Amino acid sequence: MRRNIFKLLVTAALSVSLLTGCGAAAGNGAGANDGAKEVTTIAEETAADVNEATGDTYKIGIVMYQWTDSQGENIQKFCDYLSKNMNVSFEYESTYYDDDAQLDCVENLISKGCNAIISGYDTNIVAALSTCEEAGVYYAVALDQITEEDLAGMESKFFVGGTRQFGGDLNALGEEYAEAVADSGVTHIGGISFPAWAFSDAPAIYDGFKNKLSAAGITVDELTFASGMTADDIQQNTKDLVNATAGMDAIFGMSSGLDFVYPAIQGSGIKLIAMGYDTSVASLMDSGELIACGNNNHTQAIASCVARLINAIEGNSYSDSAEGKYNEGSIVNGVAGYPVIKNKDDLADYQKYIIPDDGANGCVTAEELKNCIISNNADATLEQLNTLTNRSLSDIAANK
Amino acid sequence: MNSNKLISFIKNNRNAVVCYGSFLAVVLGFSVMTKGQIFSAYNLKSLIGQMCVLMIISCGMIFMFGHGTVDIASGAVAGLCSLVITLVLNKTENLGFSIVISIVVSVLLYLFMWFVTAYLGLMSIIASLAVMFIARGIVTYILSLNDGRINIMHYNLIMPFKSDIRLSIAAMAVVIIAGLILFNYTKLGKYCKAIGDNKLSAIQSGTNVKAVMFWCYVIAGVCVGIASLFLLARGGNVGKNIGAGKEMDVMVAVILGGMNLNGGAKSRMEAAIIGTITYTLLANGLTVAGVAQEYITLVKGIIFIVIIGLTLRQNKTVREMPR
Repeated sequence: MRRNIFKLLVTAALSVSLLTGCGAAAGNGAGANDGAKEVTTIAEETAADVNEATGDTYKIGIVMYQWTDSQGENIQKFCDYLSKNMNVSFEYESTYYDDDAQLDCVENLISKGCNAIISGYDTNIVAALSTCEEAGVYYAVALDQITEEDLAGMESKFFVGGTRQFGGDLNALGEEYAEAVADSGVTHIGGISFPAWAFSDAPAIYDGFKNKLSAAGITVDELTFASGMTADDIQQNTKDLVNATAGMDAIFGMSSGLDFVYPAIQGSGIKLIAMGYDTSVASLMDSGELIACGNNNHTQAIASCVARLINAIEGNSYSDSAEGKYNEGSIVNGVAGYPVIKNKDDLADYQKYIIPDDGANGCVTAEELKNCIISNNADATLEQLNTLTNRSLSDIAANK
Repeated sequence: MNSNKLISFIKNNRNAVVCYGSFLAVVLGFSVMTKGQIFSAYNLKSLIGQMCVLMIISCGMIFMFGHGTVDIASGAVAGLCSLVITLVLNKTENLGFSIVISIVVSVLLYLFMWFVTAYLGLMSIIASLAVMFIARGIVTYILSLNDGRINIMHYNLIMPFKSDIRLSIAAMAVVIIAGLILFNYTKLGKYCKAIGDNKLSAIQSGTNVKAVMFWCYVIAGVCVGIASLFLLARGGNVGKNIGAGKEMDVMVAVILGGMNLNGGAKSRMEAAIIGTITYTLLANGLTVAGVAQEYITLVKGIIFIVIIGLTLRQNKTVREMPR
C-alpha cells in the first residue's frame, strides 16, 4: 500500500510539474490568456534572437507529408541552395500523412524559432493559422490554392496565402497535354482520375484535353472517377474501365498515372498519358508506352512562398497584392507552373532545370528570387513574382 | 539502502523502474540535446496540447486493456465523434449540446462492441474491427458528399480547446484523477484486473464479468468522446484522415508506460500517464533537437524497442496466475 501511494505521488508530481510548465520556465504563473500573450512575446523574442545571432537569417519551417520521396528531396535540394545564397535557413517537419499531426508539426517548428512556416497542403489550415497568429509567425501554403471558404471566415495578417497549381489555367494544361497526344497516332482515349472530391481540378483539365482532341477527330470518353484513393482502388477501376471499353488505345491517367495507373495497363498495349513523374519516364518513353507526363513544379511553388514570407517578415507587401491574378477574393495566391514532358528533349530540360543537382541551374535562381523581394527591389510586384514562378519549361530553357 | 536491497528493489519493480527511468532519460536527454529549449514556455504549452488527446484516450483504454480487451477502434470513433460535433455545432451553434451528442455516440459505439463481445461471444478485437470500419465508413461517406472536408463554421467556439491551456490541463486532470481512483481504489478496477488475469477465476469468485465489462466500455467511450473535442479543436476541420492511427499511438504510449496489453493485476493507470508524456516528449524532442527528418522514425523505433525490451521482457522470477 505504501509503495502504491509512493508511485501515485511520483506520478502526480511528475505530471503536475510537466503540466504546469516546471514553474520557472513557464513564467509568472499568470492566467492562460495572459500566458498566451507571454507565449507570443517569447516566440517573437526567440525569432529575434535567431535573426540577431545569424545576421538577419530568417528561419522558415516547411511541413510536408514526407521528405523521402522525390518531391521532398527536390524541395530540400532547392532549399539548401537558397540557404547558401540568401539570408534564409530552413527547418523540416513531416506529418507522415497523418493530418492530425499537422498542428504538432507547426508547434514544433515554432518551438525551433521559425519566423515563418510553409505548409505543403491546406491540412488543418484554420487551426494551424490560429496557432501561428498566436505566436506571431507567418504562414503560407505551397501546393494548394486557398479560398475564403477554406479559412471559414478567419482573417489573419499572418497568412500570406496559398499557391495556385497547374500553371493557374486548368483548361490550358489539358490543351497542352492534348497537343502531345494529337500526333501520337492514338484514336480512342479514356480517362481516370481520383474521386471527384479528392481532385476537384480534374474535370476542368480533362475538359481542355477532351475538347481539343475531339476537334482533331480523336474519340475521348467521359472521365471516370475512381472509387477510392488507394493504389488498389485505382488499379482495379482502371482494369474495369479498360475491360468495359472496346477499342481504347490510350488512357489519361490523372490519378498518379505512373505509380497507380501504369501497373494496371502494363503489357496491354494501351498507351499512357500521365499526370505525375518518376524515374521510369525515360524507359517508358523509349518503349512507346508513355506518350506524355508532367508534374507540379515544386521549386516554383516554394520560391513563391519564400518571397512572400520574407516580404511579410520584413513588414513589406506588394503594391499590387490585392489585384493578384490568382487571388481568391481577399486571399492572395501565388502560382506555380506544371511542366508537361512531351518528348525526350523535354525530359532532358525537366531534369536539367526543374530537378537540377545544382540550384544555380534551376528554374528559379536565388538572384531572380531576390529581385522579387521588396527589400532588395522596391519596385517588385506580385505580378513579377507570379511570372517568375509560372514560366513554362520552354521559357525556362530559353532563358538559360 | 545497501546495494543488495537496491538490486532487489529494481528486480521487484522492474516495470516501474524502466517506465520512470525511460521517462527521466527522455526528459534529461532532450534537455541536454535541445539546450533547454524543450522547456521553453511555448514548447511546454505545445506539449500539453499535443498530449491532451492521447492522454484522455489512453486513460480510458487502460480499462479496456486492463481486462484483456484490445481496442483498435478508438481513432476511428474519435474521428466520427469529431464529425458529429462539427455537424451539430454547425447546425445549432450549441457547444455543450454537441459535446453531449459526441459522448453519447461514442458510448453507444463502445456498448455495441460490448454487446457483440459479451453476448455474441465474438473476440473483442473483431467487434473493435467492425466498429472501426463502420465509423471510418460513415466519415468517408459523409465527407465524400462535402468535397472531402467539412469546415467548422464557428471555429471560435471550439478554438479555446486548442488555445486555452487551462482547459487541456483541467480535462486531463479530471480524467487522470478519476481514472486513478476508479482503477486503483474501487471494485470496478480490481474486478477489471481480475478478469484480465484470469476470466474463469474471476467468474468463479463471483465477479459479474458482463457488468464490469459494461462499465469499462462506457468509461472508454466517454474518454474517446471527450478527446474528440480536443482532436477537432486541433484539427480545425474534419478531413478524411481525422483520428486515423490514434489507436496505434495509444497502444505505443501505454506500452511505453509499462502496460501489458493482456491486462491483469500488473495493469496500472500510471502506464497511460507516463507513457503518454514519454511518447509525446519523444516526438517533440527529436524535432526540437534538430534530428533530421529521415532519421526520426528510425530513432523513435530504436528507442521504442529498447524501452519495450526492458519493460515487457518476461521476468522468470515472477509467478503468474494460470490462464
